[in-house]
Amino acid sequence: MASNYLLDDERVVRLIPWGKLRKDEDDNVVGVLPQAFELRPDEPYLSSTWCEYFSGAQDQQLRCAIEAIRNSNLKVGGKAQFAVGLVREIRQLVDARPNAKKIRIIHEPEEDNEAHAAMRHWPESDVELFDLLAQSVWSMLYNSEAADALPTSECACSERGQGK
Amino acid sequence: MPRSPMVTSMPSNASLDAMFANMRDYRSLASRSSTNVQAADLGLELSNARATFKLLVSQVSMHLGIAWLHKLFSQIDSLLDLEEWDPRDPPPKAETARTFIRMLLVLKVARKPGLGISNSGNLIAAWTTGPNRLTVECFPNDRVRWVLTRHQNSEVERAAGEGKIDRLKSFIAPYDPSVWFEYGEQLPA
Repeated sequence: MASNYLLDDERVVRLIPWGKLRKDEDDNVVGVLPQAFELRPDEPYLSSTWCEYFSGAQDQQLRCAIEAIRNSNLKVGGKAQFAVGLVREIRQLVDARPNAKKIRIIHEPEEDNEAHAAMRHWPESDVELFDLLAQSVWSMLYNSEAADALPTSECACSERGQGK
Repeated sequence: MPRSPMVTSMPSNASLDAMFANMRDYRSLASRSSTNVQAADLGLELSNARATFKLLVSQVSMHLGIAWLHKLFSQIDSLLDLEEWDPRDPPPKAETARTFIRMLLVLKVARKPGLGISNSGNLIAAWTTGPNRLTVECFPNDRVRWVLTRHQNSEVERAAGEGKIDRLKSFIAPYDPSVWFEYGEQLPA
């Protein structure tokens, strides 16, 4: 089956656990830490969840992606947040780095998350890039309350999700 | 003596279903039990890490002051909370806490950082003043890795580096670090 590459105007969501959220001294959340986008030693790619895998309006798709993360094997603490990024902006930033390999953002369903997208050729260690991603393209955050306020839907698989 | 038959009769479909259901229950119990053990182990490790971190902080309390000490304790409890902890992250070791504390003392900061944790279990100190950001990951043996964004005179500068704490201090000097380390008039103390 041909790889289903995500399109430039599509969105991906990444879970940001409490420890990777940028906070002030009083634990108010003020953003995301660059380390939230760093690969773990055993990770061949950066994981995210593809919004447009689901059918429906934009906010419904986002809610479905968040629910897919909540229902996956990942631990989602009450203070964790969800960062939403646009594929085009992520790609532009990563591909512009010196010596960067062109990243591939591919729909790779997993047992616990049908909407899982893998970001392959992700730089292993580029804290400056990760900081840029945290400040700009992946800075739209939804806490648990804001996520719950998004409209719900059946979360059916869209035509794009089926690779059409 | 008549031998008892190995198979007396074929089980019905209903009893097979029940058997498989029981097996599923055993599997899920086993997995639940192993998850509980892992959570208990992690809880203990986090509890030990909290105690170690607080002990190290207490040893320099005369330099930090009581108000900061209390704030830091609260931040430590919040960061190392089992309910929020990502089980893929190892709990921080004493070495990263030592580097973090020494860094605070060397940099002589008035304004306290927010705390975070890296995938390797290293403590992260983050100072944020509007768009001006300084993030420092604390490795063992006084080594740190930093990344900063500084807006000055309508210019945006970005830089990153790695080295000992003293190197960080000299590296950030040209960026007027008071923006991160001191309370401005407009900022609440």
